[in-house]
Amino acid sequence: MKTAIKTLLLLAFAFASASAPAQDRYERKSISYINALWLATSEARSVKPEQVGFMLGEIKARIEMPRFDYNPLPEALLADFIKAANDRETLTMDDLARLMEEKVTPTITGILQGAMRERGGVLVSEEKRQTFLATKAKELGITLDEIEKVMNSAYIYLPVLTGYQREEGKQEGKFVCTLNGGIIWFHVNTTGDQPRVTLQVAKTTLSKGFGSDKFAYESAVKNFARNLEVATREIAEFKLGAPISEVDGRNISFKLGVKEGIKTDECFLVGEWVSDAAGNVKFTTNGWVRVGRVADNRSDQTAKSSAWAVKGGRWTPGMAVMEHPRLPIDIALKAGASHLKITEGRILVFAGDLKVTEEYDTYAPGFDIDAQYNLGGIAGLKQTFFLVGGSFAFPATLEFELGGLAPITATPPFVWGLHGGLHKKFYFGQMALSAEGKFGVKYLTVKQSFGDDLDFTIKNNSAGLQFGLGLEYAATPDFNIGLTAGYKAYAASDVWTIDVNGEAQALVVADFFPDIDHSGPAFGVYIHWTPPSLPFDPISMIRGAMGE
Amino acid sequence: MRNGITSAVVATLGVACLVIAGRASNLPRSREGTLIESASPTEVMVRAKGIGYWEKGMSKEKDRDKTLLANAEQDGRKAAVYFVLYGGTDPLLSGEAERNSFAPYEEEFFASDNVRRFIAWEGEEYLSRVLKPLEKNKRYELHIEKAYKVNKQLIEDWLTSKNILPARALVTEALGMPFIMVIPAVKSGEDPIKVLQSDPDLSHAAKVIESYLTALRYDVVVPEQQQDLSALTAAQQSLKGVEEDFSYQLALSIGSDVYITYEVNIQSDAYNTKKAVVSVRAYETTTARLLGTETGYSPSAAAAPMVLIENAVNDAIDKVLSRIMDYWKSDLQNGVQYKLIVSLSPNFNEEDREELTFLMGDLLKELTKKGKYKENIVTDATLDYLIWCDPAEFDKSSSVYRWLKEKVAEKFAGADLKRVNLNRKLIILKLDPA
Repeated sequence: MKTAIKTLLLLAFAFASASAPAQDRYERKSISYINALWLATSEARSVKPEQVGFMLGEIKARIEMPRFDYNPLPEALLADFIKAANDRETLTMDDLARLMEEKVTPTITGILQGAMRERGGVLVSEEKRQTFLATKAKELGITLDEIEKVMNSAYIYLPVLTGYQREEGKQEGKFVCTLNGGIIWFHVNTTGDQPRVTLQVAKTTLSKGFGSDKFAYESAVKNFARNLEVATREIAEFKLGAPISEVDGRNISFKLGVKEGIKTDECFLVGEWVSDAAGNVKFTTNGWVRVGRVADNRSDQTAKSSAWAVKGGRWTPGMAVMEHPRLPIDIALKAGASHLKITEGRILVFAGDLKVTEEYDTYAPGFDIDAQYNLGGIAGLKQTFFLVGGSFAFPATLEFELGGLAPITATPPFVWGLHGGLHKKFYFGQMALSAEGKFGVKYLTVKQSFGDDLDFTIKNNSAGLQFGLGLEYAATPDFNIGLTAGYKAYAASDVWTIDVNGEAQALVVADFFPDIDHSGPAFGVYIHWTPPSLPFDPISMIRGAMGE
Repeated sequence: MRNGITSAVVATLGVACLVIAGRASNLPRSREGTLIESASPTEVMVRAKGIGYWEKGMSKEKDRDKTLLANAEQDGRKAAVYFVLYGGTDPLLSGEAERNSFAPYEEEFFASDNVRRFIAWEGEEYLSRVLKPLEKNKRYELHIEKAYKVNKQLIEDWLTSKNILPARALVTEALGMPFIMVIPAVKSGEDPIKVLQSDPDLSHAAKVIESYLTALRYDVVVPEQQQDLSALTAAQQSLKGVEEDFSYQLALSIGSDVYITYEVNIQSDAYNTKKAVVSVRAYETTTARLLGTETGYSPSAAAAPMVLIENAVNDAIDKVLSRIMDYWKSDLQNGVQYKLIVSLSPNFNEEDREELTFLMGDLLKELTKKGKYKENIVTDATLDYLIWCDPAEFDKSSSVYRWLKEKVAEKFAGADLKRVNLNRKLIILKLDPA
């Protein structure tokens, strides 16, 4: 059954990929929501009812975007539909479609007819607003063309869960929750005598959460819903697009705005239709922009948003912008080296010690990994990010000796850390200058492992600030590559702590411990990647690790 | 010295020819257009394609797309105006003579600045836009489509100012504007006035047609009162086959030059929308000859029937009117037309009847312009003619009657020509023994 559902979902996805071409201008669609989660496998059916309710709420909040009109279905009707679905021993996509035709589409048709004037009026083109109907007769200009568009642009979505795993983590009281599933979209076709419901597309995703039992599930669900939102925006019928109205240097404007729910910093590809020698016409992109100012077009349909070019081209009015949906999170991976000073001294470990025989005062190679949350959509700040992340460095050339049991149980010292801060980019063309400031903690750590029974960790705790400048190149809408140099300002620390089996035990104070100083220059190369989905939310992972 | 000067002149002329040959024509590259609707009596809405062209050397590479777009937009405007001149079922330049007259002015007319004057409105958005690389990095075309409102009246005025189209003043000076009657089409035997008074849709359509015609300064009448057709009944035996055609009889009795009949149908369409279909026919009054017919359609919409009817009427009437004017202009060549019916009194003997018939023929040869008249029916009792007279001498039917009366008295002492009924178009006379 699980394989069958997955196969069906894959087929639906493949169908959608080959179906509708990109459209120059987005025409509003209307959606209805089946307030039920299809628990498609026995594994999925182990989810509790209150967990189902939470998941449905999160998905609804994400999917019901401003770009859609809504056809709300009465609770009684939905209950009847759900009961009919549950009464069946087996349920296929086709069964669902037939049930929807029988139970749901008459109500949707009625809603669409009632909303005709309002929704049809939005679809009237500029050309039709100049015809007799609109000018002399002072009608809205709605003709059968617009009515048919309204009647044939209705969709129903149904969330589906195909996998649910709840595993205990290494730490006591910690769990890892894994969700597999997606959304199935059905199209309601009202042409002809009888409305028909057909499977349109399914979008699937994977999501994990970590932390307490409740937090792990909820964070997995929130990430799951966020991934599905981006996946929905990628569906051709739902993707925002518009012709370019004006071009002013490296800025363009187009008729999308608050009504469609666009946000600052969202990426749009720019292109045009190009015909080849055989007469085939293909949409060819030649650059991309990011939204700079969002127009309020809820009452003024002529209001235009503006966007600035990252990779510009020879753009003219009439070319098209097409949404490039991605998460508002960049993953930054940096490889480099940062200054580290370890004085001579002795680090006590379990049944042994580690002697630093020569002062280490050089650059330790390592890497950073950050999740940068774009604040454009929340605060309207261009290219401003809140970041959280971690670092790892390894003082490879550190001279030390291990005594007692340390040689067989202890790792060489390594440095790891966590940090958070702000990152800002200033674009000039495809190049950008970046500046960031972080506050973080760093731990010079020695770990010991005695089979499965005992994990012993001693670490030096240090806190400080880090500043960096970068020069990067936007190679694609999703990838930037750059160089960075900065300075870490960490106070030399003599604070040592011990953890046994993950639990903090004691603060250690002794003069013979080496001084650890993380201050100094840091430099490296990095890439920034904007993904369409993530298997987990980084901030939630950190919160889960820290006790939630 | 002389050879040197000659060579220089030849070289200069040669360069001039090359320059002239190399300069691009002002005519549109694309000549594609379709009519969207007749927006008003003076404007039409057209969807036209423009083709922009760029080749290396025309401008800098970085300005290629701007140049292409500017060219395409200019070409689109020209194509829209070109459509009004040459395209569709009723172009402004409808005849070979008019096209030939216009040919020398084409370049001047299609200059970009000149064409702009005729565009009342241009859509901001592109209905389609496709780039076509002809030769990569060397030659490109950009195809766009846009909607335009073209002021047809302004174009017509420009053409008459250059004597390409006859000035309306010229046409109307001699004959005046055609006098048009508007009446709904009815079944055989039905009274159109009763139908008009009882059907609000038909009544509204009549008002719309009337409004359209009066905006273009035609004389229009929509008969709302029952007309006295008794005068026609005396001559009815000559109006064979039209006893039951009240529209024709009405037009004759009113004296219109042209009469228009129309039918209105409101059809139901999907999703509770309606579509109006209006058929308009124009006839020459004197002969009931069909001059033109057109059917107009409104879009299917959930609008009031009156709105849809007006939309459909606008769609049809514009095309029919152009055919009426074509008829009126061509009739100008022949003169002012009358329908002449002469009934012979039964008191004449056979010989006298024959004499009088021959006399009428001779008189009409003298009366008419270039001897142009047509015998419709010649019987013992009725003579039915179509005559074309010089409007300078016979611009009124009474002048025709007076001239004929004098000539009959002069040429045939035994007969007296009397008037039965005279109107603008119809002359009904009778010959009685003196």
